Order: sequence, then structure tokens, then C-alpha cells
Amino acid sequence: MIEEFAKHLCRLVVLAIGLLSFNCETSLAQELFPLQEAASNVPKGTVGLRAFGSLYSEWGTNRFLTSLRFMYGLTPKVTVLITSSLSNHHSSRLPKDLLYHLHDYANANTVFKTNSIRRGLVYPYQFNGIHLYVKYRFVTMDRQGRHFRMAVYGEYGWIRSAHDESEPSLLDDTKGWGTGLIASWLRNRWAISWIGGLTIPGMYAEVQQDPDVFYPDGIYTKIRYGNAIVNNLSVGYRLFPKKYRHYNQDNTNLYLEFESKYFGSARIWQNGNPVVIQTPTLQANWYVEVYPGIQKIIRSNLRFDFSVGMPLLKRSYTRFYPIFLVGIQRYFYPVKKNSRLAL
Amino acid sequence: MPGSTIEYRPTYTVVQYGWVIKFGQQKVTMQFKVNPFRVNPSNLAFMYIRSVLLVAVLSTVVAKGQQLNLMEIGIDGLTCSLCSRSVEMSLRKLDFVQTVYMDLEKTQGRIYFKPELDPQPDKIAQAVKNAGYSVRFLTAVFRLTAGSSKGKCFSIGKNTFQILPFRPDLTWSARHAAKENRSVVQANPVGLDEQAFRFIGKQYLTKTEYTRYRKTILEPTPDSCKGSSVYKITPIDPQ
Repeated sequence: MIEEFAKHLCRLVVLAIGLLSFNCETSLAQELFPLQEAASNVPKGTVGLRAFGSLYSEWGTNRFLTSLRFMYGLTPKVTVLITSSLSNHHSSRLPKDLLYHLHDYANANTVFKTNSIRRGLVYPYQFNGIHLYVKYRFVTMDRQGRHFRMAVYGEYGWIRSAHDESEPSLLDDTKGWGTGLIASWLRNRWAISWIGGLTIPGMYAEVQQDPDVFYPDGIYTKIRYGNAIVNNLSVGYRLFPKKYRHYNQDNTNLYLEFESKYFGSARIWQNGNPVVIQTPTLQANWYVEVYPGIQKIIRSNLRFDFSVGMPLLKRSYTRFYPIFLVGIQRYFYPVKKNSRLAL
Repeated sequence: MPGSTIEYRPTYTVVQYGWVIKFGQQKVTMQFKVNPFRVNPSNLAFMYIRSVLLVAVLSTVVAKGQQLNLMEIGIDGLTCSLCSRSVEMSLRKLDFVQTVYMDLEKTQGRIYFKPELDPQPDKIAQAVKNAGYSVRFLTAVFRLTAGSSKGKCFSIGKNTFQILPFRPDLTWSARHAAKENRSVVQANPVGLDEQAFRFIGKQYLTKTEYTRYRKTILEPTPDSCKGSSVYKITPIDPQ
């Protein structure tokens, strides 16, 4: 039902953008995508702050993610983003019943297996960690009112979440590193950007209590999440203003962003013994999501984003749909005291 | 400048397919049998001949007692008002910049300088680059008055300017922008002895232009143009 609704909504947005583009004239496009990073950079020496979050309902329990991002233009071609996040997606420890083991006393053997994940449990808010992202723009082809740019990025997540699914996310779920390419192309009112990347998550480990007290010192549990290939496509269209006249004009932009991810199966060890992965959420998977979004930019600086995410092909097991995303962002330019922007 | 009604006076008087150029009391008349405004291969030859004549004339004049108070800049790669704002704020960080006015739709702007400081065009280009964009053109109007000659060069403050021959294909975008500005953005009064020039160099040209004219640009500066800051310029109008 939700998938059908998502597909219909996606078709409507594509149709609306297509109809609006009929009146396309030579003017400027938008690449300030709400979810994906474009190949362009934060201006050198400029500081940006972005607060963003997401919400979805998991069997009646609302799951929130709140993030604060610090952005800085280190050089004209290098941008650094540092993000910290809070969420109630996970408990501070792995679920007690995530894994179980059977004792084969006859053969003096223990078999470790994964259980199904229980959904809708209430978790407290907790600090997930810090995410560092560095982007270097290496291709710049500028023309009047259009450009093509390419950038390479690297990211690292110091995340300490008791993540219990295979899919990695360096922003809030798993520690590890990632790298990839970004290509952004703009012409007239349109902006198109593609991201292809690789995520290599790290491990999560903790000592779990043995319910049978067979292991009085607890069971050392280690999870290695699946490596992931990321392939995202974003399209943007400037709805208003039709023509730029001054900085006080509000911008309204429409976006359609596709996020796809393929990831491998998780590997789990308990006391050094490999665990049989029999839970779908810990197995390999792929999916394509679509995020139609709208953006408002006030006085050419203060930016508000709103997007709704839905599955297009298969689905992610780490979240439920629809997922609502909001964001607010502003740049702070270091200028001379007597230099005031003419509006 | 929003709200300004200052008249922009041409630097030359147009007669039938020609001009009367005045440098103070001196007057030079040039007239042609075809319309030199039409850019076609045959006219390009005329333009080139005129440019040689122009350099010959300009090489006998220097800027005398003048200040460089404004420049016009075209910026490539701008795609939104937020981007234009980033460029403007980057330009405003320069200590010699008084104020900046950006035309968001045409992605070009006008930079006014503080009278007590010498503007540095290379820092202007670097500021645009720092904001993440590229310079399409950078132009300035110089008041050229008869006086002591320094060859094809003249100095204003600490800056020395070397005049290269007029290249119609190289200066088309700047000339086009200047002509548009005369009707859209009002400029400071420009006397009959004033002339608009485009800055020439890797940081002031598009990549295509630079590749095409690299050889000319990299030619060594003559001894008469030596100085701490030497900038190469070419006239944007063929008179």
C-alpha cells in the first residue's frame, strides 16, 4: 500500500517538474540539495551551520534523529563537515534477545544463532557520535549561469551505537569510513547531481549477559556490519523567483532525490564463534528510496528544507516509511565590520 | 547602482562608420567605408588595424593624477542568489573594497574601491575563486591624458598597467556586458578621455580564452613596464 502510494507520488512530482520546465528560460538552477552533497564547496573561510532531523513511526513508536552540522570552507576546493547526532533509534546496548545459542551437550558444542528483532520498543535519546566529511573539488567547468563540477569525498564516523542491523550508516549508526565521487551539472533552472560511493563500516563489540549463566563472565559479542555501495541521484528545479532582482527575493525550489544502497550481510561472533545469520535485517540487501522535497531560501541565506522519503524498490530495514526530514541552514560570512550587504 | 540616475557619457563620438577621439586638446579622427560594429571576418581585420593604431596612440599617453575607483566583473558558474551572495561577501573582505553591487540575473557586478588604497585585481580574482567560482571578465575605466610617455604602460599608485593590442574576439563578452550596463546599471561619469579595458591573464579569462591566447599573455613584459605589480590590459572598445 505504502509502496503504491510512493510510486504514485513520485510520478506526480516528476510530472509536475516536467510541466514546470516547459517555461524554461535561461536563468539559474539550484543545487542546494536537502539530502545529498553537491560537488560545489562552502566558500573559503565561511562557516555554515545546519540543523536537521528525521522522524518516522515504528509500530507506533516515534523515532527521531536530530543532527547539528558545522561546515567550513578550508580552501576554495576543500570543504569540511562535522556532524554530531542524537537519536532514539537504538538502545545503549544490543537487544538481549538479538542472539541466542543452543548447547549440544552430547557433542560438547554450542551453536550461536540470530533472533528476529523486536520492533516498536521505546529507547532513550542518546548521543550517537561524530561524523567527519571532507570533500575536494577536482573538476570545475564554469560558464555563465551553468557549471559542471566533480568532487571526491572521504568520510569517517566515530559512532558508538548498538546498531543491530546489517545496513551501515556512518552518520548515526555505525563507525567506519567511506569514500566516493560526486558529479553535479547545472543548466537553466535544473540541477542534477550523482553520488557513487563505498562505505566500509567498522565493528561494534560488547559483553552480553548469558541468560543461562553458562558463561558467568558474559558473552563477548562482536558485529561486523556489511560493506555498502551507495548510488544516489538528485534533481533540483528552481520554481521561484522567475528572475533574480535582489537578495531579498525568497527562493522556492523543488527536489527529487533517489537514494540507493547495496550492502552485504553482517558477520557476528560470540566468544569468537561465528553466529549463523538467519535474520533478514542482518542479511545482505539493496533498495531504492525516493525523497521528493521542497526548499525555501529566505534573504539568499536562511534555508529551510522539507522532504518525505518512501521506498521505490524494496526497502531499508533500518527505518520505516514514510520518513519525514526537515533541515535549516545558514552561512556566516566573516566580513569587515563596516561592510554591510546591499539588499 | 540601484536608484542612481548618473548619466553615462560615451568615450567617443560616433560619426558615419568612424569616431572622433579626444585626448584633452588632441583630436584623432578615424573613418571607415564599412560598418566596423558588425563582427565578421572582414571587419575583424579592420578592428585589428584600428587596435594597432589605438596602441600607437595610447603608448604616448599616461594616466595622470587619476584614481581607479571602480571595476566591473563577470562571474561564471553562479547558479543561485546564495552563490552570488557568497561572491559578494568574499569580495567585501578585501581591505581596498568599499562596496560591491551584484546583478544576480546577469551574474556580474560592480566593485567600488576605497580612494586611499590601491586596488589589486589579482586579489579580486582570488576572492572570486575563494568563493568557488570563476572570473568571466574584469574591466576598468582609465582616464588617459597626454603626458610623459612610458611606452605601452602607465601607472596608477603602485600598479603598472601594460596595454596589449585590441582583440575583438577576446573582449567580446566584456564589451557586450559594458554596453548592456550602460542601459541597465548606471555608471560613474566617463569623460571623453576615458577608456574601458579588460584585464588579461589566466585568472581573468575563461579557460577557453586562456588556452587560445596563452602565447600572447605569456610574452615577457617590456622593461618600460617593470614594477611591483604589473597588469596586462586590452581595450574593450575598438576605438
